[in-house]
Amino acid sequence: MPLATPADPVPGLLREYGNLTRVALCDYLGPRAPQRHLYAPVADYPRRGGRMLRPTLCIATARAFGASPEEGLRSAVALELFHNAFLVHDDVEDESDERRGRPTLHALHGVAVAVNVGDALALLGLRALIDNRRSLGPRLTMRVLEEAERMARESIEGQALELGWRRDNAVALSDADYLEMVLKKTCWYTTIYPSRVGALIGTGSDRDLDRFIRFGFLLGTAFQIQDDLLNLAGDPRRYGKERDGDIWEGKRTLMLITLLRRASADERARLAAFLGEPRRERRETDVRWIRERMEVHGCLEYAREVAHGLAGAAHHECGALYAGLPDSRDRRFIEALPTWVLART
Amino acid sequence: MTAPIKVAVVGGGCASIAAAFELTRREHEGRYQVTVYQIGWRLGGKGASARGPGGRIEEHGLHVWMGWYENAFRLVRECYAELGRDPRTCPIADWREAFAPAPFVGVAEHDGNGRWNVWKSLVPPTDGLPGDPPPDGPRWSMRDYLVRTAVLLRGLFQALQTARDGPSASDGAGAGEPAPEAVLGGIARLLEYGELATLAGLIQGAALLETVMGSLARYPENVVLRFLDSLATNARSLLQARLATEPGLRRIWDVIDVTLATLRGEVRFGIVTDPRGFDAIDEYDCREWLLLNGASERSVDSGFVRALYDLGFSYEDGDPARPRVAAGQAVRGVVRAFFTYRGAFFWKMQAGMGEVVFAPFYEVLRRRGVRFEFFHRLTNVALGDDAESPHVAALEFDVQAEILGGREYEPLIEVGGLPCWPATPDWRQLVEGVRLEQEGWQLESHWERRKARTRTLRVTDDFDLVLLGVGIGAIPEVCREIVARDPRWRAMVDHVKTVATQAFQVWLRADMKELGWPDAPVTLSGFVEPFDTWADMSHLIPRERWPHAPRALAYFCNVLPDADAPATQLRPAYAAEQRARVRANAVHFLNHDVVHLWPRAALAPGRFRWDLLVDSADGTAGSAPERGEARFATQFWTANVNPSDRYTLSLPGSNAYRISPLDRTYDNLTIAGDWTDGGFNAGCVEAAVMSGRLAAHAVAGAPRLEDIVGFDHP
Amino acid sequence: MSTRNRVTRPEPERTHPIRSWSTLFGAAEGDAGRTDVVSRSVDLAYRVVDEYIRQGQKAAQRLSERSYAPEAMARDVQELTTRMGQYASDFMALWFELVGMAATGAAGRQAPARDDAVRPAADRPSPRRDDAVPDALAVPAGVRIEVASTRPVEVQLDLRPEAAGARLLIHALRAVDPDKPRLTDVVLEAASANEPARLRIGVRDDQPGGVYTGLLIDERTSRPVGTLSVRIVAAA
Repeated sequence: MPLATPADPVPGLLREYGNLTRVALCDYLGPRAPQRHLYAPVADYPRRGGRMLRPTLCIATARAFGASPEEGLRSAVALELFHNAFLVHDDVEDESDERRGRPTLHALHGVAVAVNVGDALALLGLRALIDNRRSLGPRLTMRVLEEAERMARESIEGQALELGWRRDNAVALSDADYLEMVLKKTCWYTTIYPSRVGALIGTGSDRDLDRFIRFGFLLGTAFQIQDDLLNLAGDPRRYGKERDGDIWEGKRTLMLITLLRRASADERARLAAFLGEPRRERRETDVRWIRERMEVHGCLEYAREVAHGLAGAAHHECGALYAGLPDSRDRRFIEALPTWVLART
Repeated sequence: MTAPIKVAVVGGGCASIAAAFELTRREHEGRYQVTVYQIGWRLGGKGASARGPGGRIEEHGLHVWMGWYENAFRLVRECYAELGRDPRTCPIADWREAFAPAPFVGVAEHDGNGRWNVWKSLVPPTDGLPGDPPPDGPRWSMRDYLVRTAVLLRGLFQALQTARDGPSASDGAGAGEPAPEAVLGGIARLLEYGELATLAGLIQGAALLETVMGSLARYPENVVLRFLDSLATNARSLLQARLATEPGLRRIWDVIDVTLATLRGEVRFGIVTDPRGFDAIDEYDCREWLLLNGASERSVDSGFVRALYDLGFSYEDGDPARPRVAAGQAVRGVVRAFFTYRGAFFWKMQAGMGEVVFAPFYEVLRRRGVRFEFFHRLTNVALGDDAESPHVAALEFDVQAEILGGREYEPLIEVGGLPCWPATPDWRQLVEGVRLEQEGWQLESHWERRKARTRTLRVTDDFDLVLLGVGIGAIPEVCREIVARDPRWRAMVDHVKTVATQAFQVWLRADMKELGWPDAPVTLSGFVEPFDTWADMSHLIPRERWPHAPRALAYFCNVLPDADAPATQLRPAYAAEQRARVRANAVHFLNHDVVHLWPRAALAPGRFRWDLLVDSADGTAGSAPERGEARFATQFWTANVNPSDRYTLSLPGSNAYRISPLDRTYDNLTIAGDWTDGGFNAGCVEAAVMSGRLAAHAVAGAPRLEDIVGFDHP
Repeated sequence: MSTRNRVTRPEPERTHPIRSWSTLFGAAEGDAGRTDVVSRSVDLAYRVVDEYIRQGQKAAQRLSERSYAPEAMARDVQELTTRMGQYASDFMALWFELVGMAATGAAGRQAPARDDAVRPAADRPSPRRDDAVPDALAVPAGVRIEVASTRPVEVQLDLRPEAAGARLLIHALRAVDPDKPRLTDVVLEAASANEPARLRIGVRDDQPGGVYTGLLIDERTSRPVGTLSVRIVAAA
């Protein structure tokens, strides 16, 4: 096991808080009926592992602002449950086959069960947030619940935006459209909510949580772009979804949007036709062609540069946000995130 | 938590209030403790208004807002939202009750035969509302500009049709673009006459031009210029035959001619690629520049162009024979006004500017913890000794009057459910107020030097940063130290000039139709000197408290030429003399000129129907109504001759001498006002608000410069 | 004189407006180099998020007044959880369109239903006589849609093949926004011997604009077999 050097606090804390969260998670995935068609599949995705970035960020932020690990734990657990709920539903609607090296839930159990399981995970997350009142008191519990409601709403709206693009076969999207969608769909529950709730719990005050929106947005977007880049160019075993899966799905990544903008008229027409087909009719040759066109038009390079820029800006915002806090592992973790987000494979 | 930074804001006009509003936003978390120092008893500066006898609104002049005032509207809307007035008790609770669209504009033209023609136009409304969040993506592009040209021309064609065929059922029915059928029908009618067949060609040409301009870099410059030239020649030759007989056509031609000349100039002078944008042609006067680019003398002297000059009071020294405005600033202004307005072209306030704008801001700012020190006249800005870090060490004030009991002065009164500013200070709140009133202290007058005491504020003890929001007319006196030792400030006060203005308001017992103006209420310019601008403000009458309501209300305003040399303006009697002069001007105007607009307002040539004027004292016991011209004394008029009340001009070549609020020569001082280099360098509310927001940025780093709408703009 | 250090203004990031024309063209047609991309995208990102924050602050002000008395809290929690539950199920409805398409496409991959709770069709009591419709005649392909509305309305009906021959129920249609009232005037009449199935939708004049969705349930199995989505153009 490699030593966690001071220069890289991220893996160490991910492991530590990740384990904390996993153990606490089990309280909510316990033996209950109906097992076979609900609670067993419910436990499936959470047990498959995952990076645990979101719950770690939540706990680390809370601790950086002065809370104990227990105070932030349940909110972190809730977040991980929500995350898995989104994954389940995502996989259904993206018609994906694989998740974290194994078949997707709907491939195993059918769509109806999968959808139900996703709902159940979300409600379990809610349960965890309500249980916060045991350790946080009524006022903070309410505030965290409100934050969760906002997070859920933003994620759903962001998701609806993207779904709308796919359904309407939108091909004239701008970078600003993309940024707005990612802000809502991904950043809120990946980086903004964990930071806000962490700060809320740590300081006990909800004054000016909006400043975390900027930081969370910049960090989360860099994270998402890197995620999408890995789907095209990363190691599929480590990444967890099939290679080029995003192209198969017609997902509007920054690379795809850039390709649509830079392609010649003929290329754009072929691309639009591909995007207009239902997934089962799409062909491997088209997917490979698109991937190659992205290289030719420098779309991946462009996205890398954008992610680079946003991570840099996140680093800058981070400095302003956390400068006044005492030095701690947690603070160093957060400050190292912008770099880590880009460097991971 | 460190102690808050004390910001002394001097002056309570648009710029200062905008800056104070920005500095006390929630996100600053109380970092800035703002105190506003104001002469007299009212906020507003050139925008102040008051309530006089009968609760009548008394303004400095005509304050019509324009649909492109994005920063001003945004702040006003935020202010009202924060104010949260109860609509059940307050007649103006929402910003949309404070401002109403006024799409009807008018231009008056003399036909050379002693007759005045009025050209009325409905400027088509557009999507959205001013102050809405800015649209994503490119802000204002050349392509937008040209599209808007086509839309505007269409609106003018509509007006042409109305002028020919009289008002029809579909005429001016208000909001909404004219239906395609109506436009096509109008064109079809015109096409009957054969030689107008290429009117469609003109429109097609404009569409082609749109494509060309959309990617100008791809076309060689000489090709573009040739295209523009041929468009102009074709159009001119087409319409030449009809110019003499169809005044309506000639007006449209004037606009087309001027527009084509502008486009030609933009290409020829390389404005499209010049990093200075429109500033590149600021050395030229606008009309001069249009002539250089092929506009005809007639178009450049048309009512349309003159009206634009009038709106900006662009007459050097107020001399109507010397219209001058920096070409770059003028074109920028026209582009913004015509092509970026949202909702309506003009927006009229539904009460005085004091109660629509300054009272709400006053209330919100007070709630946020801003302190207001009224009756403070700034007398000197004293610099510190440190030559390496020049800074403001002290601010010297005359405290004109003390408040009884050392309390805070309560400046507002209620009229008709609205908080308003009174026409005179509340003497009862002032120490020895009765005596001051009897002695007739003119507390807003530059020439009034009586005071209760002096007061000196010192840096670090009483203030940390200074935001100077007084009008530039006051700068030579109050910043004499800075002007003496800083050549840039000296150049600024030498080159950035101002002009005095005059205005009067009349309340009438007949309405406009009875007086012979058949159309909808209008804002009209280009009329005769000395009152070239008229606005029908009858909608304000319900806001006033008339025992017997007048039927109409008209505002007139104009520049007031300096009759005396600057030195003689220092005489104490100057203000009263100018006031008398304005009265004489107004009386003459009503007797001789207004009849061209209101044909039935004259008894006989040279005799206005003075009995038309309504006085709030009419019908009250003990009043002996005046007769004839003397009746004018019951109306309202003003000579705006206080140096700080003078209107800021944008003379050719003056732009370069303006100083920006962002300039940090004095490390604890920033300036704000429509006279600064604030991005839009002309005298208007929007320029002042932009400048105020810039000054806030200079102090606090917020708002972000990209957030100041129109700051980054060619 | 105070001993505190004299406060000065911060240095501004720039002191002049950017007047060069290219600011007006927004996203460039060509790339001008690495730092340009980076700085432009960061710039754009700040604009997007700042605008977003500005709009969000108004929404946030709503949440500032809150009572923490137990009864009020219990009510608030219930309200919140109801809303979250609604989001989940509304969202499910929204997803269902795509799910429906996915299901038909993934039919090959889908494992046969192994739900023990539902007994095979043969064990169920036979349907009531007046509802007995020979399978051959109940053709869902012929669904007549009647809409009564004063505004433009767009109707999208997706039925799975299993819907063939089934008696369908439809509940009131809901919008994602819980504040919008449900679209309740929706009636589905089964096909009969002479007539195809009929879907009647009535839109009240005061129904807020938006997209309303709902599931079509197979009455026999209580399973969803289709979705109905109605888009009402907002009143101008």
